[in-house]
Amino acid sequence: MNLDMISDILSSMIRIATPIILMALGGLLCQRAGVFNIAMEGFSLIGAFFGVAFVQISGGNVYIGFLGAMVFGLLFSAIFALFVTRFKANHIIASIAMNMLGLGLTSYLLRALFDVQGRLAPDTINKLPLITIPVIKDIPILSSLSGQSIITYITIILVVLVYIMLFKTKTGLSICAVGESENAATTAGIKPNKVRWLVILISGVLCGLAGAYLSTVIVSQFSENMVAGRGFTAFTAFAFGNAHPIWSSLVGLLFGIAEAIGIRIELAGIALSPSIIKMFPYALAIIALTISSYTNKLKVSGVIGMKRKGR
Amino acid sequence: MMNKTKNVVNNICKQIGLIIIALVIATIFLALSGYDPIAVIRGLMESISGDIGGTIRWATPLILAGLAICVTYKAEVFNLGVDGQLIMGACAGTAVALVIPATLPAGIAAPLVIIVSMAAGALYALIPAVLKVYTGTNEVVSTLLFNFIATLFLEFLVTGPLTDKTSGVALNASAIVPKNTWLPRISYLAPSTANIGFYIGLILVVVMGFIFYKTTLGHEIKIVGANRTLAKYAGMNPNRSVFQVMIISGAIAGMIGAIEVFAIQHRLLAGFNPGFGFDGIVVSLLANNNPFGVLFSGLFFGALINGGINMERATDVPSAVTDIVMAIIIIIVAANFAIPRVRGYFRLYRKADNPDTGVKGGKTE
Amino acid sequence: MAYAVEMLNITKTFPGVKANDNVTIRIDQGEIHGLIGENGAGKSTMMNMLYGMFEPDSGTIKLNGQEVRVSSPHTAIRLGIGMVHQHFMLMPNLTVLMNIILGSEPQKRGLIDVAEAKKRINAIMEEYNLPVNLDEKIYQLSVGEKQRVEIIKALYRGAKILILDEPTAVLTPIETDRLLEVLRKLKCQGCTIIFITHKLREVLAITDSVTVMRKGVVTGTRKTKDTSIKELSELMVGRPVDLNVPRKEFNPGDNILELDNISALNSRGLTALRGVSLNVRAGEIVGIAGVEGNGQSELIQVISGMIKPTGGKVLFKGKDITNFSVRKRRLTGMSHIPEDRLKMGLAAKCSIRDNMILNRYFQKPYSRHGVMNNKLLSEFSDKLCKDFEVLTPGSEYAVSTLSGGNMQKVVIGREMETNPNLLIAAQPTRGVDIGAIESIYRRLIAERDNGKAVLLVSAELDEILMLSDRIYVLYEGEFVAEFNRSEADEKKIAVYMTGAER
Repeated sequence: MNLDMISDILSSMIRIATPIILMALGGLLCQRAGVFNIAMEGFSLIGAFFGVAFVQISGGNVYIGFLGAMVFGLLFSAIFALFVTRFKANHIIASIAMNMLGLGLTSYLLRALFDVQGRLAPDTINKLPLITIPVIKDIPILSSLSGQSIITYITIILVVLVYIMLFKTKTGLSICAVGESENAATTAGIKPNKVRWLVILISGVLCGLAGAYLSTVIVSQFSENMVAGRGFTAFTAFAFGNAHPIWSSLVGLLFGIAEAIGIRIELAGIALSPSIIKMFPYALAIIALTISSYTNKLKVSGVIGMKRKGR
Repeated sequence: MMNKTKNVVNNICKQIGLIIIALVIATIFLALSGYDPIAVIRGLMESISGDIGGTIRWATPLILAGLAICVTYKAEVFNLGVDGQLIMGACAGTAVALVIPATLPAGIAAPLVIIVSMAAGALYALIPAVLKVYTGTNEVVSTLLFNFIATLFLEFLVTGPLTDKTSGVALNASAIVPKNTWLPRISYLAPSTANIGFYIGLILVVVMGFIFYKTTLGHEIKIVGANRTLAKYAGMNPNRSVFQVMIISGAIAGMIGAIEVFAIQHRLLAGFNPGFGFDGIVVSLLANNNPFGVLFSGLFFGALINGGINMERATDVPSAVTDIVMAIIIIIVAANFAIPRVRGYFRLYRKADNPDTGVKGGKTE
Repeated sequence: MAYAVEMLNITKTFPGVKANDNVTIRIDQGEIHGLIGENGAGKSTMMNMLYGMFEPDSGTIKLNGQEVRVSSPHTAIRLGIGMVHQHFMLMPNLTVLMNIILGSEPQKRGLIDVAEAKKRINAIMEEYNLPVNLDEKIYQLSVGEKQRVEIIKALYRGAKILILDEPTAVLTPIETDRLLEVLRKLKCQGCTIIFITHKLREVLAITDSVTVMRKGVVTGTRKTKDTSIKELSELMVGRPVDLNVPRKEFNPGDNILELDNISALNSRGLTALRGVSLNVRAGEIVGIAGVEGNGQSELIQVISGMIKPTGGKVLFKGKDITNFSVRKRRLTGMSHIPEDRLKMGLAAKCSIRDNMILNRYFQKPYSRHGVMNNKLLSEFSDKLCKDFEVLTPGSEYAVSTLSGGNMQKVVIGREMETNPNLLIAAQPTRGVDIGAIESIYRRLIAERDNGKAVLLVSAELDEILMLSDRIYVLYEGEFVAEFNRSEADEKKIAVYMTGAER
């Protein structure tokens, strides 16, 4: 285990965590507005498919691919928004439906539009450039930050933007308000449904981005069901991260590093099962969740951190 | 009494009506994408009616999953971990099956592995239940996490300790389980894989219905789900109810695992679970969380899934179409729940803005 | 000079109910106007329309002589109308500051200008003496503080017309006095205040004029100085009301309930009861007087078995039942009418029958070996509904379809049916119309006359005085006084309730 290997693992970690963090950002905004969005799996799958589809149609242009992915991610999430706001559908059920729809639709369109089955690899693809940052690339460990795709750097910027928006702007306050108390928001003149549409559409775009990243950056093809549960991992990230952009991203990195280590172990042929390694973030999440719930329980019952006696 | 039956019939008609709306939308969708919808629907119908065995095979785990969900839902506990519990059940059952002597009579071996699977599922469900009761951990998130862990654990088992050493290729599966643990198929419906799991499902539907409508246990669970403080005030024990429903739910989930291993695959395979747990949520929803409804809802979805598979074999329509149809149905049915609530207000409401109950009248929603 | 607010010939119908029928209310500039009536009289509906929550079916609203259309709370705020709701519209996990500025945030370069907001709010807090800590989270505040936040909210948005919906329902007497001071100050500054309440004393104390509503119509408008409690209550109810129920001669029997030096903690881990002792005998009503929040809830919970005391004993008919479970105590002969029927007494979305059978569903002949006899249980439930005059087409309807009074009847019916030796009645007439109050009083007296023990806990001193044979005054977890019916003096007890004397 030397520095190079560590940098290597960290580099993988960032690469793996990028789509998860993107999805989690959208999910946490929804959570803040009281929308239980567990449909990121479906949203991203649509993004992944249309990313590749548009690359194919445009003859290899990856930028068009990303644009298409985000547009269709937006449109697809609009269906979810419609049913959750106008028809007041149960969020969990609607999410399950969207995931199913995403799976079915993408598999179906693969056949219907491109007449292939199982996977679609575009004939040509001009992949997104990797960016090397001059000074950083030579510092060990930090060098993992260099050489990533543009999307990763965009993701980092987005994390900061979401943080600022959520805690420092009027829009962010409206989002929190709708999630905390719909009544309070309404009497303050906010339209809760408008806010919900906003957060859901944002998550649609972000998931579209994440999906296209998976299908055009990590690999260069779309295969059925390729999101493979990452949507739920993203959900775990923001649930564990308390719907806070910074914490959720850190959890995303945690998942990234677990998978990165798992892969290395598998490749190195070490006896330790990669599946067990991959379990660690989830086990950690459960422990952390339990601890935080328990301390919350104790706090509310006054055993610790007594509230001041008000007057 | 008349009122009640009228209500039930009303509800069923409503659900069927929604399904029809969804099917119409699906038809339009098919037409738009260039498939002859009539032929597709006919193909679907034929494969459903011509292959009852397949329908039964797929309905079985769905009915059981629906029951597992509806029992916890009644107590306002959201067990999203049926997938994990059924996987653990399958793992435990397989592990035991691979060590018991082949000379043990089937009459003992088969029930034994089922019981082991149910116990494993129940125990795996007990963990989030304990966390919920003693630390207040929300079961929605914890059960989802446990699902991940169970899936990974399964992967570990079939690539490690339980892997099939006899096969030359590296399979992600266990060895074939001994014959004395195989659950019988329904020979009448051969060569499909429909099995006695279906009969077990039927029995459980009746048992669940009985519990909820005719026993004190069911009443307590209902009250705990409706108002926990009330339950305590009336002398009930809400925590005990949480444990009860999770254990029952986990046991049923474990049963699903046992059936998939011992009746269908006859070995433990990585990824054998296509997500029955989540499908169970949908089945239960369509059935309005009513155990008897779950039977029909499960059969309906089983028919759809089977129809899709057969249709794919026979025509060039991908089975993904059934996923799409199912999704449309689910989302239409989920939307429905806003409407009867409002209509209910119209019929039974006495006061306008009821300030002390905080219940609003007609317009405001 | 034009009226500040005129609501002329307002009619509003909800499905099945006419909430307001041709109602006219006129409010002078700079006056404090009381709007009173029983639950369901339509006063909240009127004010909700003034605040733009919904619009009237017909009629006009005028502000300062000009006709306006209040189509949303947003519009109302712009027109200078502010409302403090009965159930606070606050976001528990956000800070006071955020709650106040929500929807009207000052902005600088796209971000919220916190400094500017604080400046404005501090000015308001100073002017009207409404101090709160802006950086605290709402869930940390007391009820009185939360209400202050609501008032600041309205003032921050420039409200000149302030509607307060049952503001004193949740306040202690001290907090109530402070609120009235604030209102007087606001009036001096030119605000017009509309004060919705059912507490006639407060109406007389602070308002300039009062409008009385009943069943959707206005039954009378008076200048406060020209009217009396008697006249107002008659206008509210439509008939002279006498809550003085006759009782048999006082002949108490043995001790049914004894509390021996009970100490207990509340749900936040703080001490709620400090070594209290009391006794209730057969054939007597013992009243616990005191402002809510002084340990009454915990007292009841210790007696009913819902919490364990940290010290002391509970005795029932001489037997130590301190370790008995809730169910065991009920089976021994205890019943409990809870103080919050929706939180603790009923499952709103379940049927009336499901709620009625809670004390009996597990007993023979209604169930054997865990299997219930639904037919018998339905008959049982229907009979109780009839006996206790619960207005419903059938007991399979959901409890949420009942009015407050009828809900309370369900609870009382269920709890009295078991013929308990000890009946605990906590705030038994809260949110119940005067007509039903009379019948509840009759039932409680009947229990007492039949030799049962009744423990009455109420925040309404009138109620305690009317019904009790003996009175304990509870203050900060201790009994600071005990009175017999004959020596009970309202003014004296009120003083003990504030803790001024021991």
